[in-house]
Amino acid sequence: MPRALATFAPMPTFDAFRDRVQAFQAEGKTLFASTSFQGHSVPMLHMLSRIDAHIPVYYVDTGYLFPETLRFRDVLKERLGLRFIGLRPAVPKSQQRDASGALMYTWDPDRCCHLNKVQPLERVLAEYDVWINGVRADQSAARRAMQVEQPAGFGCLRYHPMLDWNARMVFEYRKAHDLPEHPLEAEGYGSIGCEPCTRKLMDGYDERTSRWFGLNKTECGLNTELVKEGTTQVDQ
Amino acid sequence: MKIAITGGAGYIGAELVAALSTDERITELVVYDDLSRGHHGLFMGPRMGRVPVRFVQGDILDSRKLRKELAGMDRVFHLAAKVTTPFADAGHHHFEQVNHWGTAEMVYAIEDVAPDACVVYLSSTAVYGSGEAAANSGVRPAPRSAYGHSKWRGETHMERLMDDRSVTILRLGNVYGAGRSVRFDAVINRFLFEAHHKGRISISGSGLQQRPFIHIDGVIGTLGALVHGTPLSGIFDLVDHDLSVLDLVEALRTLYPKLEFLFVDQHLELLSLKVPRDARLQGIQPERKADLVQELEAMQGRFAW
Repeated sequence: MPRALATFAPMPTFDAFRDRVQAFQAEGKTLFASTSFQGHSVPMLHMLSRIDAHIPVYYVDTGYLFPETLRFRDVLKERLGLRFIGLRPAVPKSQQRDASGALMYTWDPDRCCHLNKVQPLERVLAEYDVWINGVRADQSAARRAMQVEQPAGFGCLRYHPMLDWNARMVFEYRKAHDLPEHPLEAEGYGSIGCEPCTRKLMDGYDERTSRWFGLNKTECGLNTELVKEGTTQVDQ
Repeated sequence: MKIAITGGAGYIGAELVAALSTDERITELVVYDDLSRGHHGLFMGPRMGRVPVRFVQGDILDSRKLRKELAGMDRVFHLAAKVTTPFADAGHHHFEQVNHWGTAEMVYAIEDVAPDACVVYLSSTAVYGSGEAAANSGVRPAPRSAYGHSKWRGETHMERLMDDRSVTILRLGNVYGAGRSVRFDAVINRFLFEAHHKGRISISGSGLQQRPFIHIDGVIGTLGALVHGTPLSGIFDLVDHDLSVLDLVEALRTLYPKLEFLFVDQHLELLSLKVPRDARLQGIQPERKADLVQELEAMQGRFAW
């Protein structure tokens, strides 16, 4: 076996993921998943499609997504047969300007994320019992402090089946299952979120600079604000 | 047929509304405009045709209002844009806001509430940037200004709609000619105004810079042909002819022999762009019926004195 594959163990994760989902369902719990359509979320979506393609997959369509991301959504929908549901912010962009007319992402990115990402998802948490979320511990300090299961607030439980995965495993899984990559990855993008706060990777800089370059901010809030207080320690 | 026109009170929009208002196959024209340029020419005479026209003062970033007003439309003309000639690089964020994100909001609204609408989006030849060789929609855009970049990004959002409907993206050259909401920052109009009323025009750069142009009648004729004709999906160049500033000066001197022209910074070689007429618009884009001098003369005849 090539060395790269030595660290690749998809079946135990898939089995555990499937068993846990089925256990939740046997308990009568309602489930949903979320995605941002980044390349690293594709393995979880693929596994979910094999477990139960009827589980709704929400994505937050902030209004600032790359058109390439929305096209990638369509590719994944066709390929995986999942039911993607877009969530839009309730506050129009015309009401997200300051006195000079500038949009919120230019002067308060945290509040911009809150209005356009966190708030739209909050109402979904209130409707379901379990939120399947593909965060990985190696992505940020906040995620490193997470547990496989922990409360999300609004009576919903976060379930993180991919928490112990790493970038290499994602790469190998996608390769093994011939899964597509986000079209902007080939153009040099690393982490891909809203266009105004995303930039291409630069030589000599780590992947962290792909998002909110220049700010201490590393999370949009979905994985910090929608975590019930006192259940996780966030090292920031 | 119900038609919505964003930017309907603007330079092109007002002429389009006037032209379509006489087409009785249309049951309603909705003019969606925030009046941010202060154009009110649409609302004054001459009288429109019989088609009911409804004005909505709205911002294309107001997704809630946009959805309400675009619901059930059969055609959507997305003309609303931020254009600041010649300062296409001043205020980057506001170009992005209106031309890029505003167009993204349009696309979302059309997807949600106007599933059967054919869409026409006015982009710009500014997406090509500049170059010695003639550009056309077969080459990859390389915008050199914030304006050009924002229009190109707007196109990429519009292109998403092409998967399930007709979307016509027209890259316009510089527009000129008289109209209810005429823009006197557009170069030919400005030069004619200065020639007529001041006897002297101010020229930026060496005057050798070239640009693609189209008369407003050619724009309106093309847009009108897209209302009832076979849906046309794709990206097209809507231009008539290339001109250098000095070509334009020569034409003006035919009408104003004593015209002076003052170079503000003639050591500058400003960017040039050439774009030929798009052969694929044959039968849709009207043939030009007059030469430049005749067109200038016609606009000259519209001045009050």
